[in-house]
Amino acid sequence: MSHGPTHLPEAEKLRVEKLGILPVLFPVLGVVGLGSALIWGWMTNPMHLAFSYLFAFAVGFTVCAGALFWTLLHHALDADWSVLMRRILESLASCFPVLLLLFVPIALFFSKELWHWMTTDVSHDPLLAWKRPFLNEPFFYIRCAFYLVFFSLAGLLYRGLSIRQDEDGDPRITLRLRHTAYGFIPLFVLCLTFAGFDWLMALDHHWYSTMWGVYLFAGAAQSSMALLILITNGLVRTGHLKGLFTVEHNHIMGMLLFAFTVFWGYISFSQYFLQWYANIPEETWFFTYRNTGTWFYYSIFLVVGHFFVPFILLLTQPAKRTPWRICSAATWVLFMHCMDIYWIVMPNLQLQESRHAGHEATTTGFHPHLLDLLALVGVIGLLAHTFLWLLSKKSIFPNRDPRLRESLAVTNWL
Amino acid sequence: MSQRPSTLHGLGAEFPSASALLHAAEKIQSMGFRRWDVYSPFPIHGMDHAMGFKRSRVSLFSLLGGITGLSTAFALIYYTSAINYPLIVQGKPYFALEPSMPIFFELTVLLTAFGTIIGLLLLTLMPRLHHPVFNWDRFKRVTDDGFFLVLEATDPRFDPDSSRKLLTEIGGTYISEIHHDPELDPHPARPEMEPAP
Repeated sequence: MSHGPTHLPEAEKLRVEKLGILPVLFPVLGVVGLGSALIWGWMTNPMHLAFSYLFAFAVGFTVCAGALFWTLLHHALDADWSVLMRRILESLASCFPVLLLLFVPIALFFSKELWHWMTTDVSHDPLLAWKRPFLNEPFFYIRCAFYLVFFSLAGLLYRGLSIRQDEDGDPRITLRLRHTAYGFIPLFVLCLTFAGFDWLMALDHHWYSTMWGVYLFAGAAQSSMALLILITNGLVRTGHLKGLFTVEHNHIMGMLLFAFTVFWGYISFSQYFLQWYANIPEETWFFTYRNTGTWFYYSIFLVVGHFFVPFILLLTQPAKRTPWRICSAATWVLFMHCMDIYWIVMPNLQLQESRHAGHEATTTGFHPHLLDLLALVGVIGLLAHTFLWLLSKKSIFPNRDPRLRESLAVTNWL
Repeated sequence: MSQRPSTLHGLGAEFPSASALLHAAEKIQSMGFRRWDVYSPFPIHGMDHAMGFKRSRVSLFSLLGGITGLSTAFALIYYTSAINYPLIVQGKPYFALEPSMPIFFELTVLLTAFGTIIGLLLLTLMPRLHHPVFNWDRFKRVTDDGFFLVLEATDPRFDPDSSRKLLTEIGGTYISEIHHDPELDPHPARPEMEPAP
């Protein structure tokens, strides 16, 4: 195999002054976006606010969960190519404490607006009576706390030990993190799956899909890879990682983004396909609702935009090796991920409104609202600010990782 | 060496290691030779680049195979279930995209694979039963520990004398002429080929 440069690079700090207005923009967007959404929404339409907020929270949650997944996978597989980008993933995964705080308003104020099973009368709902041992409030909050505490601790552990290795260069830390990853991956899968059940699937507690966890996982891994591509290329554009980051890294990340685009298409089709074939009313309901009115065009757009467009954008080798092309594809994938989460969450708002009005569930279709955008901008602003703050504290890559040399010399042997 | 030029396949040279062969290939490529090849017991990373290979055209065959597969699948499903023998099953439409997707996918993948294999065979002129390099005794080691480079006589830059000199300069050993017809070249004594044991 090839050999890397003889001298390992020095630790490199984030040069915040090179990032333009971003370090100021993110906290401002976070505070203004979230603040205005909360105040305006609370005064005009608390239920809409609850759903907009959950949508924004779920976008942030899935992207950070994807980053934690890539970190764990890197360690479990003893990967070498991703060492250079790993600090970015670790910092993204360390944003979970912020998500834990962002969940507090959901638990305190929004839960009764969001989850109909919390307020419905079990005696009129035999299906819910069956699910009571799982869907009851104390157990629900214990589970939520468990997911968020686990994700926070895992993120902080992986970033913390990686930073310690920057200082002492102890290769045993790499071994320790690898062994921990073997145990954390099953826990991660369970937490992500059940968080998806609790927060998103239970919005309509009659509906269920056994593919729900893996569907969310596909979107999470895909969107965080897209974000990683944008962040690394952004760092390179602003003069970081000079001589370290190569086109080969972009190529590998592009291949993974492509792979998870196909994976998302495969999983989302399988979920739809099984329910279409089985044709059980409480299952097909989810899709018939989302094929009613203008939601139909939205769903078609989701299929085309989330699968076919990035598939074609990323298919060829030059597309992955040309920075502007891979960055455009990654931006599009992130946008489509937000659209996907919106498609999961927001139809339930109209469902919930018709339940409260006491009539049959109907939908008038897709109605975008400024609250959705404000909440999303607010949550993303806060998370982005946390991420930049974490990234600026230490070296932007693990400069004493035993596999750094291999990561710098990675090639794809075209 | 007074063979008629038409029977000459080329000049072969052996190299001591994979990396020596790689560097030799880089030099030959940089000198603008067109008709030449390297042979080794295993694939050598970076050789494609060293030999200056352009993108292979196999993917065109793959694409043709894929398009054939997709249209075959569509025609098969649509004709059988909506035209030839329409039958309502479970209240589903005669033809719908949902149940067809797996078949579209499978046949597309299958015929893409066939297209790729057929394209590969066509482009590499395979299968063929014989090749002039097998007329060279020493070449048998290519499946064991030999690394060989052969400059073919049909290359416009090929010249028996200067090419032999070139192969020596870039580190080739046991340089020998390889002929098309073993009868015309009944393994003449080549004292420079076999060193004293």
